[in-house]
This record gives sequence, C-alpha cells and structure tokens, in this order.
Amino acid sequence: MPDMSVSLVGHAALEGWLATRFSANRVSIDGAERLSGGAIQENWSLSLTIDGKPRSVVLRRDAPATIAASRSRSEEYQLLAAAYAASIRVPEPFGFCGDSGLIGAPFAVVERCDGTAYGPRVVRDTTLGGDRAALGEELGRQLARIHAMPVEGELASLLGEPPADPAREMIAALRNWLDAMNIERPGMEWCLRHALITAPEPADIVFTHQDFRTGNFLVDGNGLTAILDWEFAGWSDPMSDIGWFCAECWRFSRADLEAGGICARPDFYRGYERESGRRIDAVRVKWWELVAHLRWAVIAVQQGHRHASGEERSLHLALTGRIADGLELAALRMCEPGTNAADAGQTRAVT
Amino acid sequence: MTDPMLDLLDEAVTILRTRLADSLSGEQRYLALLTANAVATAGREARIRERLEEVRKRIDVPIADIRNGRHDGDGALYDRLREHVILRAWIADPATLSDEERAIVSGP
Repeated sequence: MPDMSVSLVGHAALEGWLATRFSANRVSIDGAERLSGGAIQENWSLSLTIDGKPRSVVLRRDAPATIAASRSRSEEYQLLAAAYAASIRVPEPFGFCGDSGLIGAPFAVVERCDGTAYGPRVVRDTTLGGDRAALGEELGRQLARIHAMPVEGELASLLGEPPADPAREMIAALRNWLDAMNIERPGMEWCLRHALITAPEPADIVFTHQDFRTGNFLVDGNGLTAILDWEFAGWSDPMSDIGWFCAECWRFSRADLEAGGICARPDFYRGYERESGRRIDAVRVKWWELVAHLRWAVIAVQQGHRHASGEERSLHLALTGRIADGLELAALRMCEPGTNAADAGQTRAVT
Repeated sequence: MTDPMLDLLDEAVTILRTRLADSLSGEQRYLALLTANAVATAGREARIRERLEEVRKRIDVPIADIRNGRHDGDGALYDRLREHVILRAWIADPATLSDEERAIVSGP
C-alpha cells in the first residue's frame, strides 16, 4: 500500500470529485494526514479549501485486507447515511466514490468531528467526555435510537432478511470463521459449545451497530461528538450491542466501570431503557458478554492470520492475533462446567 | 544462571523500552514499544515452550467431539484446556492473569 499523504494533496481528480459533491466551483486539498487506528480501513484527515473557505473532512477507504465480517466501504457509507438520516449522532456523510481508479480504492468522505476515540485514553483521561454518568446515559440513549432505526428501502435491501435465531447464528459464524482459517483452538471451541447450549431463545430482532464500544465513539471535553465504525452493522438481538459495550474486554484499564469503562451499568442502562421503552434483560446481556469475548477473539485470530498467511505482513497484526489468548482465557472463566448454564436457567436442546 | 538466548532477548527489550523509546516520539516511539512487546512475547514463549507443547499434547480430543457435545461437563478436559490457555495468555500478556493463574504458570 503506497503512502498516500503526498499524493492526496493537490490530487486534481479527487479535487474535481469533491467540487461536485460540495456543489463548489473549486476545491483544493491543502493537507492530508493519516489518522491513527483502523486496521480494517485507512482514515485520512483532509484540509480543504472550498471556494475560498477552509473545511476539514475525513476520507475513509479499505486497508489492503479486510476481515470476514466487515462490510464494504460502500455498504458502510449507506449505513452511516441511514444513521444520519435517523438523527443518530454520526459524522455528516458527504459522498461515496466506488471508482477504484481515482485514488486506488473506493472511498467515502464524511465530516471531520472533533474529539478523541482512542479507547484506553478515553477511559483513563477523565477530562474527556464531560460528566461520565451523563456520558454513559447519552450513549445509552444513542444506542436506543440506533435500535429504533427504520429499516426500509435501500437499507432493507442491504441488510436482507433478519436472522431467525441471532444467538445461534453468531456461534455458527464464529465456528465458520475459525474453520475458514483452518485453525484449531480447543479452548475457544469449549466456550463456543458452552455458548451454544446456553444461547437465549430468539426474541426482539432490530437494527444493531455490532461494534458499539469505547474506542468507536468520539468525545471532546463536554461529551459525545460522534458514533463511528458502522462496518459491522446488521440485524441482531438488541442485547448483543449492550453486551458488546459492557464486556470486560472493552473496559480497558477500568474493569470496575462495567459500562465500557465509562460509568456504572445503571447510568448506561437508564439512558437506554428510558429512550427505548425496552427493559434490559440481564441474562441475555451476560450471554452476549461471553460471546463478545469470543467474537473479539476470533477477529483477533483473523488479524493475526492476515500476517501469518502473508496476506499483509505486519507486526501490529501479529501482536493483535496474540490478544486472542487473553480473551479466550476470559471466556473460559465464564464457561466452567456446571456454573453459567445452570445460573442462566436456560440450557437449550441442541440438535 | 540465565539462559544466554533469553538474556539476549531481555536486554533487547530493556534497550527498546527505555533508551530507545524514551528518546523517540509519535509513530517512532510507538514502533519501538511495539517491537519491545514482540521481543518480550517471544522471550516468554521461549521460557515455557516445552511445557506448552506438553500441555497441548494432553488435550487429545478432536475438535469435532467438543463441538458435538461429547465432552459437555468434562471437568478434567476443562482443567487441561484452562492450563493451556493460561500459559498462552501469560505469553501474550501476563497482566491478564489472576494471582491464582500466575501461580499455575510458575508451577509447584
């Protein structure tokens, strides 16, 4: 992958495309800086001058290799645009270009929002995000609005039919991803089996973000500024997003703050329940927290596999693959024989 | 006496984390710390590799049998899986282990 930092500045074809999107006579790209984060995609901050006025945007395009569950940039853009239309707090979408010829890959351009997303810093630095209980409550409200998003038209076509049994289909998908890499992880298999036989029965199925966690939203000194990373969004149990947000693996250095390392659960839950009118089911959330560890572990294995297979040699990817070991241990702790399934009281027959 | 290979790796980690990373900033500092992490991980794996392989051999069940439920409730298998995963998690990041789990890595 070539370094685009120089080539994007003054890129005539891209400037022309942007001029069309902004209905401007002239757009110049005065600066391009690669933003940190994003193993699946590259994010570039572009400093523009649009008919003489400065404006900052983010250009987002695929990294050289993506992972199994990740949607294309085109689909992600559609999802972001649908969220924006539904008044979810997301960056304003300005346009998508599917022509790989312009800058080497399809890309999306969105508003550049202020704030910091880096999870460890957001958790550690309490000067960010404003009052943490209020931030947690607002995150709960935003998630409730995501779960209430109308699914119609192009969004309905993109999402397809809702799954009949999201919990079991998630377990099947994780097994398939492991099989596709021809990787044997007996500890993970134990946990997947445990998850399968304790899976909750299907209930509500809604539009879900599927990566709603600390690290994927921006905060400034006052609070939430934007919810990012829509590339995994799709149908599921609404409790899957709650479990992903609260899973210990996404609390970083503040395991004691069970809502994403941000605040106590009741603050986050209050925002969600008041906005949605839906009660949070603690048993379901607990199950989805186990699956959160397994899903993140399988994704980490996939990242490591990208390096090991030679698809994309990267020390960062190799070490991300190692994160799966700690996640697997955390999951195993939840799957001791004779504990969780009985606690949940919902062991299911498996055919 | 310290194994000479492990000694080399430990020294490399010390230099990367202190003398090199401290003199760098931004992307360069990040790369120095990432490299230190990789070398430290390799060092931990070298320390317990033989034990890791021995514990893995004792998990002598087909994956399909776990998937199909033939080992549901098998406490002995769970204990072997747990020991193996604890060793791998220690290699990846010792901070993820509890005191009890660290004692398993240290051995009797």
